[in-house]
Amino acid sequence: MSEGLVRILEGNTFVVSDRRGDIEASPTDPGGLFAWDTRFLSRWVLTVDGKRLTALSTDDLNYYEARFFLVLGTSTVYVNANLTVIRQRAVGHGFRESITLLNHHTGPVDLRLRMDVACDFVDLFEVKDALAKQGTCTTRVEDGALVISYDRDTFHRDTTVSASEPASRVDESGLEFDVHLDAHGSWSTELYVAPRIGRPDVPSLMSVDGVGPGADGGGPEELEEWLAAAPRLLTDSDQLAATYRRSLVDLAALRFSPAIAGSRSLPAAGLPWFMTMFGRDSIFTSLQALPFNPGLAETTLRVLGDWQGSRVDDFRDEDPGRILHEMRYGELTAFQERPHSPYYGSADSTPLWLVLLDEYERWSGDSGLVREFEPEARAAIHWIDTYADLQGNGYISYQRRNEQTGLENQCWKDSWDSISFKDGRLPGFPRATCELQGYAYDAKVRVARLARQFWDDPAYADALERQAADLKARFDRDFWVEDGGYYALALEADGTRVDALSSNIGHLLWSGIVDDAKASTIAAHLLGPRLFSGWGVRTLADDQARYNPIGYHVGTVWPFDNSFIAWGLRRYGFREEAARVAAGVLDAAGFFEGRLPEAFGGYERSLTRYPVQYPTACSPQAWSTGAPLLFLRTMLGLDAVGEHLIVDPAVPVSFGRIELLDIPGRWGRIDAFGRGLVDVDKAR
Amino acid sequence: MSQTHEFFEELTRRGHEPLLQRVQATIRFEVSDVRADPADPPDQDATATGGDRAAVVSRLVAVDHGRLTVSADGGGTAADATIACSASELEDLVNGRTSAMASLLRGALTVQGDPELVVLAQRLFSRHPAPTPEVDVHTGEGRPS
Repeated sequence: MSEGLVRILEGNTFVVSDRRGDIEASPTDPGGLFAWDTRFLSRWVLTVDGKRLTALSTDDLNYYEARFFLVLGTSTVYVNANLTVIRQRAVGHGFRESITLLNHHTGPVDLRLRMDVACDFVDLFEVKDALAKQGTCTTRVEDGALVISYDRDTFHRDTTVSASEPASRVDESGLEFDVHLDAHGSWSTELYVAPRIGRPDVPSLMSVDGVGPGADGGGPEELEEWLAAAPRLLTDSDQLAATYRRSLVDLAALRFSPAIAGSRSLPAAGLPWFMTMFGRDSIFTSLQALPFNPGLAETTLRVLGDWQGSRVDDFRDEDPGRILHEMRYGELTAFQERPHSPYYGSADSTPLWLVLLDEYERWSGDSGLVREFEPEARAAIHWIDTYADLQGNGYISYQRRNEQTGLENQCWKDSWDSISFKDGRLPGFPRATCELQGYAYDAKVRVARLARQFWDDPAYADALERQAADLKARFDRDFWVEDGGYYALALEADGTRVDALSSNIGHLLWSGIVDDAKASTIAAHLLGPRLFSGWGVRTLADDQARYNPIGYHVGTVWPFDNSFIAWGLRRYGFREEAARVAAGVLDAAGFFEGRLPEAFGGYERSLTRYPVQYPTACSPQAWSTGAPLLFLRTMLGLDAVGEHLIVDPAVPVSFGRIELLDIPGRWGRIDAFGRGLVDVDKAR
Repeated sequence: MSQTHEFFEELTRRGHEPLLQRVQATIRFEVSDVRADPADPPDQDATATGGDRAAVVSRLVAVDHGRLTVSADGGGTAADATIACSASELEDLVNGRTSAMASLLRGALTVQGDPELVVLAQRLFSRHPAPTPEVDVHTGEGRPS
């Protein structure tokens, strides 16, 4: 996204304008007001006496609020510097914008202020493809407001633009105000842009009625409450403190209330194009944020549990027991031109949902939720054992059934070339990537605990533990690449090991599926020169055929990936190694003002001296935002055991003292302290 | 029998839906444009139009920790959610040709009351709940085409 654009958002509503506050979107241009994957405003241009304005300054006051100081004329020649126009915009359900005119002249002036308005109602997916609309747009003036509607069959969307100060004229393309300003006088009005989903006579599922922040509890007070509820971080490292604050604010912006969760919110995947529910992203982010805000995990578990698949549906790649991949709300989804209603093509969200269920109970003590969702948890285990075992070999593998619009790679590394052999060949389908087996192992071990402790079913628990032990033994035999000394990235359909060396082996540590005797070899690979760049662990080792330091999943460093690798290293007792990974990625955060990108280049740290950002349109991204939180957990060695919070710090020297105060959990609130004693440079 | 009536008959036969164990709620279904079929049970409760057989079929489905009770709707009982759609939309939902979310987004299905119940109601639409999949997951045999 280009530098000159101003973006504000709240939930899944966002506004993208230029620096003047104007929107002039084309079918393929990403500007406009978007809500629920639909563009509700494609033109929003302010003129005074027919002339465009020039921005003197633009302030992003907050993630949901922006202010534009404008004058008449071009940037080089101020035709009339006696007039200042201030636009202040706050997004909520739709947005509201106050427009203030200040006359600095010694005499009165009469002006004609006009806002041009148009809506094209394109689906977010259409913005990229420039598809022709199949429905019809109509415009009408009603009680001084402009109402623009789109209808296709029973599908209805509309946008209403109204003003606090009655407009002098409203026509089909805008609102006009005759303004009289006394000497040094001022005038203002407030405009409201209200999108609506569904016909006016039917109550809407999507809460887009009402305008402005605060309509669903957002706004400055709510943000302050959110920040105040999180643990307080005291540290000698200003950079770490800034990164922590940035993460909390961005996580607040990334909260999203899906249509059925009432006012509860869960982390969406990323801004602005991925402000929707993703199984995998929402679960990983909830895991990262668990010690800081357990509420996100609760909503994620409930909503994903409610939406659990209940039938075999090839179009949506749905099976009974499967946890969804992605939900979308636009026209293409409504008419089943896209399968996101929801789409279930993810091989990892189901076992990860079970992992989160157990981890959430360990921290929160919320056994009620574990009891409530027992049928869903059992159905998820059943999915792992049956539907996900495409080849009957006891491993989760994936192959899409929707070959037109389904996802080819259903693991987190979902780009076309992410799963390859060492020599660069791509395996066929189905594919059983290694981390999926780790997640399944962890899920079974954890659900066994839940079955024993909360469901009063020790026989089921025993069976799950036996299956997990068997899986671990088989995995060690079938995935181990003998001549490389690591686990294969995947198994091909015929059982051949896809023998690339990748960061996925770090997730295996996190899941606990790695044989104890082999753990130190795995840790050595992760911190070795082929995988570790100095900033973090590369997605693919630098001597593999497809390695590319700026290849999406074939060489870049992903902060989220590294945060789980650090957790895995801690799980097996590699305290210093975990601290090294944390230090590398958190040092990188300093170059991005505390906001870690989705991924950065896999170049050697000694070569570039700064992390090279991977070009992406999605920032902030939820699981990158969550990464610093999980690194804090791993550096302090936080774990929930029984009724207690365990603290076992291994903090890099460069961070000095770290104090995390008021960590919420089943223990109430507890503080954790750590001193920087790990010399990560020496270890390098 | 019309597919609408068949759907409610099937719920009555099912009697219990283990995946709705945590639900205690009453859902009203208002199905419009139901084509008359001589095999349909007489509808005292339905809205008659122009002397024809029922055009709108309304049923209350009570879910009590998974136990399902379907009753004729006298209109007097308060429901936690009212789900309204046409008979053909209901057929599409039951047969898996569409999903509740797609119908909602299209405006072909509406809900008043607790929207979470629409999500859970999908477990009523599908006839093959999770614990006993009736397809061979390895060969795909038995899967709808």
